[in-house]
Amino acid sequence: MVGGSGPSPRGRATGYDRLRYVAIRQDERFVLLKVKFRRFVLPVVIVFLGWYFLYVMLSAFGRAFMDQRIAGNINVAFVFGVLQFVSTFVFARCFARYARSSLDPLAEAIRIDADRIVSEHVGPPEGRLLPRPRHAGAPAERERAEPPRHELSEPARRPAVEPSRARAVEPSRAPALEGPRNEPRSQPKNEPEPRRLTRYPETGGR
Amino acid sequence: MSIIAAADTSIGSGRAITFGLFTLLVCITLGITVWARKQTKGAVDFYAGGRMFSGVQNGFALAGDYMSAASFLGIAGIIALSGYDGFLYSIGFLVAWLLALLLVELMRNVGRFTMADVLSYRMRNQPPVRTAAVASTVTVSVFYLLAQMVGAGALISLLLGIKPGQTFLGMSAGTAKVVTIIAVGVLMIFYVMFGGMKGTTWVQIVKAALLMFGASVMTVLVLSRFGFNISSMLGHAAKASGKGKAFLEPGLKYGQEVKGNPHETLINKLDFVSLAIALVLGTAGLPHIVTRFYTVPNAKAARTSVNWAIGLVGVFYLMTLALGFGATALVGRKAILAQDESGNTAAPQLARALGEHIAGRVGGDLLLAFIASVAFATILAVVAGLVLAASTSLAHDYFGQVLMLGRPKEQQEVAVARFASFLIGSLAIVLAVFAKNLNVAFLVALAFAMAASANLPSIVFSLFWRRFNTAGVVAGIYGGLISAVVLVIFSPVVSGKVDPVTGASLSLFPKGVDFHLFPLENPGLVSIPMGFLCAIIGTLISKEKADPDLYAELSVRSLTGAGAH
Repeated sequence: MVGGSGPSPRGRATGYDRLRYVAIRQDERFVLLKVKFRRFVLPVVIVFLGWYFLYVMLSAFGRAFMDQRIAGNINVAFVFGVLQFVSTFVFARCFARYARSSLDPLAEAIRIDADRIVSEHVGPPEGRLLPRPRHAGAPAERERAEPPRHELSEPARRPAVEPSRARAVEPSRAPALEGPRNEPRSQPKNEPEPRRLTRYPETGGR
Repeated sequence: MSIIAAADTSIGSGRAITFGLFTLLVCITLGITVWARKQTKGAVDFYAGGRMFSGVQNGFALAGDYMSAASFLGIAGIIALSGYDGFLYSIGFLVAWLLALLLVELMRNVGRFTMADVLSYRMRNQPPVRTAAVASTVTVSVFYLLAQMVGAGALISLLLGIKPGQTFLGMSAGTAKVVTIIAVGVLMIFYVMFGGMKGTTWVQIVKAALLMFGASVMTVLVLSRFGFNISSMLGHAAKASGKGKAFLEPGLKYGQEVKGNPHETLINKLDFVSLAIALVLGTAGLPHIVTRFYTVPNAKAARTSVNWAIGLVGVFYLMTLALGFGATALVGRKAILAQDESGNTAAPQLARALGEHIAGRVGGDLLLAFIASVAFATILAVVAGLVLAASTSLAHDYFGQVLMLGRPKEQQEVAVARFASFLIGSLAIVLAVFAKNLNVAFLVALAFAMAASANLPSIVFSLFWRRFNTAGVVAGIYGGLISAVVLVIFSPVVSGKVDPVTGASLSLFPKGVDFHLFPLENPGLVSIPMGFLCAIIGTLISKEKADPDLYAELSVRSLTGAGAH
């Protein structure tokens, strides 16, 4: 059961499912999403930490500056402190807005389109149009498989599939990348975490 | 009740109202817990409240978890006694949330219940990663918990007006303190064991709403006394503090300047910088905050909840300015010091003064009783959140993933989680009873420093550094954690700090014991870079190669939310 449709040693993704993620990572929209995320987050982290440490440093070492009165009993230190609050609110708001307008639609599109992206790169799964069964993988299948690259090679060599077949993989029927939003209560799960198994090669399953 | 206590009628009637409100609160929270027990069926319910909380609800709960008694009473107290420096503290607490905001979605998308889920996600060898994460989670939680519980003992005695020499329900003040610690501990264990995340979250929501309401009422009342003129309030506070202009400037408490001793001055200032770094980097690694990211259905709701938390926490800390300065101006620094040396009772005392101004003694008693109950609710909710975080980590990460090799029976794991909460709660009670007379205020800042040194490097690297591997996580967590703890043991907090005026020991150990080697009280300045360094070195010297496919999987999942739980 190595590299097949059984769960991988860590039970998270089979060889095929792993390929799905590798394929999505190469998708240009995902690259764009990543760039957009980093392009926003990095400068913001630098700016707000810098702005905060400027305040801390001035409070510690720039007291003559901080002690100046501005109006009545309000001094620079007080205004600077309140500005830290204001800037925190503004940054939080900016990020929320940016994420809503620039990141969320892209992430959503990638999630919905995942199967098309995957079939373009590696072809659809054979005989696996339905979601991977949750309980698949008896303990015996949890043996340590070959390194992932080996798993990768097999399906990757699979010939690309004719368009009609690819279209058949609709998001609704295909093994959705989206996990269960709310784990259904009616379905008793003996293994709360069937897909995140620890891999212990020597245990032989127990 | 004894003759002495009965003779003090002013305390007596107020105490009866306070005690009544405390009882009411306990009944309400127990009701919530019993309801939540019926709703809690599996691991997702127990650890993550069924992932059914909305962003706004979880925002309130996050804020509730964060605004501990230390920040409500503590920061108001620091402002009341040391003026501006309390503000410095609250700013660090708030700005830290931006880091949490940027990380929350990624962590929500990747993990299931705990920080260890995120850290171990793409590591080739999970058990050591999980174990390390459990070690740091439990250590940080227990330190934080201890601070809250010891504080709770002293605080509730004060709130109920039990003074040394008096008796309460036939107990001496010392016994009353122990009984309060045990009562708080038992309640906390009950909330967590039976209510799980659902019960705890609703307790947090109720508490956060009460706290915001109480603080707003007091803020409006304080400001109305000064014609809504902040400058006038500051002026009155500065005058009443006896420190004059310096009361409104940084430097009375943190980074004190010692005349004629530039070395000492520099150390004081570095200590302040160290504290500031720990505060701002610690929040995103606090276990009881991280576990809360998983109580919402998806990453968007998680982002909403952090945004709400930022709003609530920010507004609350702005209000503590009015509470703190208002307390100095209306109650007076001397009266606050006389009641409690660390200023923890400034807010309740202010409540009494404000109430008396409006409706005489009855008004004072009522408002005092209300604010005291809010503080009580705060203590209960925060300790419950901490116990839940630690027991979730023990059961899910250690029992489920390490001991049971990732294949525990769900009911079994939840049973272990309940038992773990009992164990951790009992441990905290015992430690707190032993430490009841120690000054443990530094423990909160230390918990932040440990979270920042042990957890943050691994969180950041596992999300963003392709090469990061098992050895890196393990080295980063233990390196950061151990350096923080060791530095504190050899710091003036533990030994060798002496009050220059009275000559009394300000450390944990009595005067005469001095083995301090590290000059700073907060280890963050050294231990946080140390944590990052250990993570980097551990990664580079290990022969293990990170799995590129798993990194791809983690990046895709974290950014798009594909496959999230």
